[in-house]
Amino acid sequence: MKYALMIDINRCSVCYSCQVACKDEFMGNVYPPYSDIQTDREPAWINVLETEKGKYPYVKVYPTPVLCMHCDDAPCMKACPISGCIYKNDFGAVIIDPTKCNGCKACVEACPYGVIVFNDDKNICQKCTLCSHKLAEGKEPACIDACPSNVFHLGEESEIKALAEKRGAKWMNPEYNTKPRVYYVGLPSLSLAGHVLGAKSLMDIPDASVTITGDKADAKISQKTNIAGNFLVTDLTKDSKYTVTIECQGYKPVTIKDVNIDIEFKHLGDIKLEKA
Amino acid sequence: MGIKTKDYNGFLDLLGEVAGVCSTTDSLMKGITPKEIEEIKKEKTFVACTLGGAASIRVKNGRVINTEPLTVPEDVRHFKIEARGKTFEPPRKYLTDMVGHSYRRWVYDASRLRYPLKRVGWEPGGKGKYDNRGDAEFVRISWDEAFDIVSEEIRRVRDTYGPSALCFQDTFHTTWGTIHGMGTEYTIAPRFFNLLGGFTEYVPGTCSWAGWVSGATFMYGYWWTNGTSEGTDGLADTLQNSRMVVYWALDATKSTRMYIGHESEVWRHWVQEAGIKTVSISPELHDTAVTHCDKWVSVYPGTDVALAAALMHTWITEGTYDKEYVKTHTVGFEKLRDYLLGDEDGIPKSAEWASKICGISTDSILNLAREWAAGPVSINCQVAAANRGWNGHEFTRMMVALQTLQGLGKPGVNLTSWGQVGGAPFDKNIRMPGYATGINPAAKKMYPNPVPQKLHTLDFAEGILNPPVKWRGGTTGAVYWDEEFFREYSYPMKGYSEVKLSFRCGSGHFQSYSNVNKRAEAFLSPNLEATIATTLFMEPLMRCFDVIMPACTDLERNDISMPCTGGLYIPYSGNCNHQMSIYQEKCIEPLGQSMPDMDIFFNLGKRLGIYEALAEGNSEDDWIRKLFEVSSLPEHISYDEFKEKGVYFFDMPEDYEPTPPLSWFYRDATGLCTPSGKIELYSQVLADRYGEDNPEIAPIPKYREPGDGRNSPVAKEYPLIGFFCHPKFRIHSMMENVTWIRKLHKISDKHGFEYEPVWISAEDAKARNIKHGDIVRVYSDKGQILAGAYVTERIKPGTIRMYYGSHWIPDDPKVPGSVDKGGSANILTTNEPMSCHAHLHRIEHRMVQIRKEEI
Repeated sequence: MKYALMIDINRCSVCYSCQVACKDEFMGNVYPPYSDIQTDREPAWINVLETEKGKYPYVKVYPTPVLCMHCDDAPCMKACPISGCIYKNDFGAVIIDPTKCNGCKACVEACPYGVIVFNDDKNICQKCTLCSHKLAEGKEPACIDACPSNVFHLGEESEIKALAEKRGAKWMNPEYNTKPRVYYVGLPSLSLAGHVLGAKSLMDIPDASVTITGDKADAKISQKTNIAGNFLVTDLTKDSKYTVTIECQGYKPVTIKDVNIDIEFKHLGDIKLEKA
Repeated sequence: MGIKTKDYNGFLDLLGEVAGVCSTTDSLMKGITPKEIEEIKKEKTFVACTLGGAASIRVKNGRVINTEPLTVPEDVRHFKIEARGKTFEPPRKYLTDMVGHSYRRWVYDASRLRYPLKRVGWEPGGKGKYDNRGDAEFVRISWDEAFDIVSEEIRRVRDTYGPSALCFQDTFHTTWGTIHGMGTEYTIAPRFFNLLGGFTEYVPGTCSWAGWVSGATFMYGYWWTNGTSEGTDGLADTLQNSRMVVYWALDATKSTRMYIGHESEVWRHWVQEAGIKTVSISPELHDTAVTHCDKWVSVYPGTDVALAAALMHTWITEGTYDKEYVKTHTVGFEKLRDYLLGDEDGIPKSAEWASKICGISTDSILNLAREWAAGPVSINCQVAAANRGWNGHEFTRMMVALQTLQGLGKPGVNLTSWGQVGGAPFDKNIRMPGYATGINPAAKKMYPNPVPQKLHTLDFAEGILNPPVKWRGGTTGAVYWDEEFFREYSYPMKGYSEVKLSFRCGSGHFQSYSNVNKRAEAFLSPNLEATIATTLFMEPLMRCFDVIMPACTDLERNDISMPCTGGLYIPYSGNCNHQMSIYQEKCIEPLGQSMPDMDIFFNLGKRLGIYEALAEGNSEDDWIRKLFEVSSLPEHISYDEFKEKGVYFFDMPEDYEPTPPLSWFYRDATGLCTPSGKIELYSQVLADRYGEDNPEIAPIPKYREPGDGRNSPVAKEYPLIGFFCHPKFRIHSMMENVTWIRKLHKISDKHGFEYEPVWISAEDAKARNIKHGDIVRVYSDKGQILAGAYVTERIKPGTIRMYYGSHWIPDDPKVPGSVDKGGSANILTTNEPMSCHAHLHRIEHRMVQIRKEEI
């Protein structure tokens, strides 16, 4: 079975269990034919990045586990000079054969995601194997098994692709054109947020309609405020000027014009609605 | 000649080994039969109870291979919570954390002490030299020598000065277990000293619970849970009934992990899935806020009390508190109301008033107040954090007052009832000893300490260096009651000797308490004729000890326990998703010559003639079997089967009846452990003791501007508020040596030295020309440390945040106040007590300054 993976970064609380579990699985342990030992000082083959956007007190953090994307059009495979050294296995994982690798580091250079590391003890290049040794036994990869928050969804590729589509999951850096098998929900993008509340009551207004229109080619985006009166619109563009309209039954609508998304997580602060 | 040790990154490379995999296989194979070798070579999976909760430990060739989550079989009946049309059910595995997953790295760390050591130049009998304490020059000795020297020295000190000259120091948290665990004053070590005639108790002072035990208790009792309310079924109550959850001064994702792992993380996801609004009140945008909260209310550290007062002011002026409940369930509301409305001092504690103190907008306070009044709120706030800093006891009293005004005990209105200690459904009829009971439940006879003399951790250094010292209250650790609070203590007591010998078990404890420099000075002083330790690792503070004995970890001996159950500290559990008892079978042989803590005391006991009484003829297995017999386990499983399986999962009773926290009080309106049986918004006990006008504590909870806070003269020189919370990457100071974890957070200089991070706001960093990754000096009136700058928007400007517990690596330990490269934040904190009322730590806050350091 060929696998694909969807990572929901909205659920990740940066506990690093996945990262430490990867060290624990691979450091000093050998899993032929997939991997030789990971050294103590070598980075784990999955790393959680804490990307921070916005300005105090409106800050958004994107905890992003990054591992090999197991690309279907993998630059590392093309770059490797040794025939059959880097290959795709039956699980859809990209594997560097530890017995064939001569440590030339061409793959390290070629990988745009920077997930291949050099093991100077063994003189080989290494990376995530999707825990193929565990998949072969019908078990989950170590990082996924260790996650307390169901951040990872691993499954048969068509199933995960469907799920990814449904959840709006995306490739990280799609411009690399490598056909990754890893999809992300909630990657950082140019975003606009706000908090809608009653002008007099100062209480949160949930279910208010938020409409955002750009002066460029952007489509009109509509959203409802959540239980706490918050909205978050993602995937906007830098050179557009946006008009934000907030409507809620029983309140006068509010329109905010000429909004520039000048920082990656732009927050409009408190938006107060007067009673109609 | 001794072994001159070399320091690298805080660890004493005592044995000349490099970090990495330490293979014990070769030494294991010597002198054993081929059949035994075959056994060792086989792979075996053990059920272990780690400091990160239950886990499966895989062992092959006598070496730990890795840690995996422990699976819970499908046929175990576990809890399900029905709420808002959804069914919440935990995953069928025990989710350990980075601690459990790095256990292998921790156990085999190169800094593990493998042989007993004696400091060069130290001689028993007070005859040796003391001026090289701190130099870390040691000579290796045999166990026989170590036992002889230590037992003779204990005998000499006791016979010369009396037993009060012996001081046993438990350091809270060591390895996991009931018979070998050295966590508390109830374990084998105090039994040993009591049999010798007693010892001077080193009073920990309820460090993590200081504000709860000294504040909330006077309002609603709960002395036996250190002032936090009962944790039973708070989770279901919240999921079913609460409209909002407030994480008040609590990074739950981080702080709930200690001994539990990530068992409760799924609960916070459930809260969001149930459609409950979530708010975080904290100076930092912590992990819980990032993942689980709709709002971040960023108050200055120590000002939570003002915010709480403003919320109540709003409710009273707008009439949105539970008037009926207040009438029937409380006493003294009028006095609190007068204070809040300003009738008492002319200052209404309004949202405008609090906004200036807390550094947040009036609107955000009114928003919170009105959202709160709109429906039941669960407050998630517990140990550590705000309760052990400025206004510590006022914080906890305000939390009780807040919920009281909204009907504490009403469906959905709960306080501290889930998320940190307990809260999940669990069978209260299951009996199980824990680390806080030690072997006592299985012992024929228990031995109280005949020596009444005590020395409080706050005064330890002063007591050793410049006795006498006096204090009041704050002494008993786990169980307080109000009279105890007012008891007068002095050290030394009349007719009792000062402490001459300090015996320490467990983990690095300097860094977990305030004013590290002063504490170190005491340990370096010849006033202590002997400093003796058992330890797992050659932590930097070991250089202050004369004889050091290597203990082994919980994977290297047998024991019996339940994950995260103290057995005494935490009588109401429910910390985990499944109730289980674990036979902690030895997974590997002890490394080097290290041995279980209990064996160390038994060997010393043999030399001191108390072994018979100490052990009562029991072997390790006898103790485990006897503890098994007093637990609930024999009703379900035989001892042999339990040992064979390694774990027993208790089924949830089919007729489980939840008892939501304080629901009984909501129903009965009486029965609390207070003089009136009701919630005492005004405490007559405190009024009788301190009067109405004491500037540090009043009969009603009040906001007080700290005398050394951001509006005090201290702030001229030290303008930033430092707040020092429980660490995400350590348990106090344990796991600090795990390279896998260090890599996650430490900040390196160009030479590769790893510094403890300090969170500083972009604004404050810019003003000081500090960039992310720079090495900085953080200093207060108490000391100075080096740290790595973590420049972020996630912290309130004017505030810096560090985790305490980083290793203590002073430039020169013998020069008091020399700069600490380890970044041990408690070097900056004060050992002054919280208030005249609470002789307890207030180590969460200190005013500091930061400047860039050229390295």
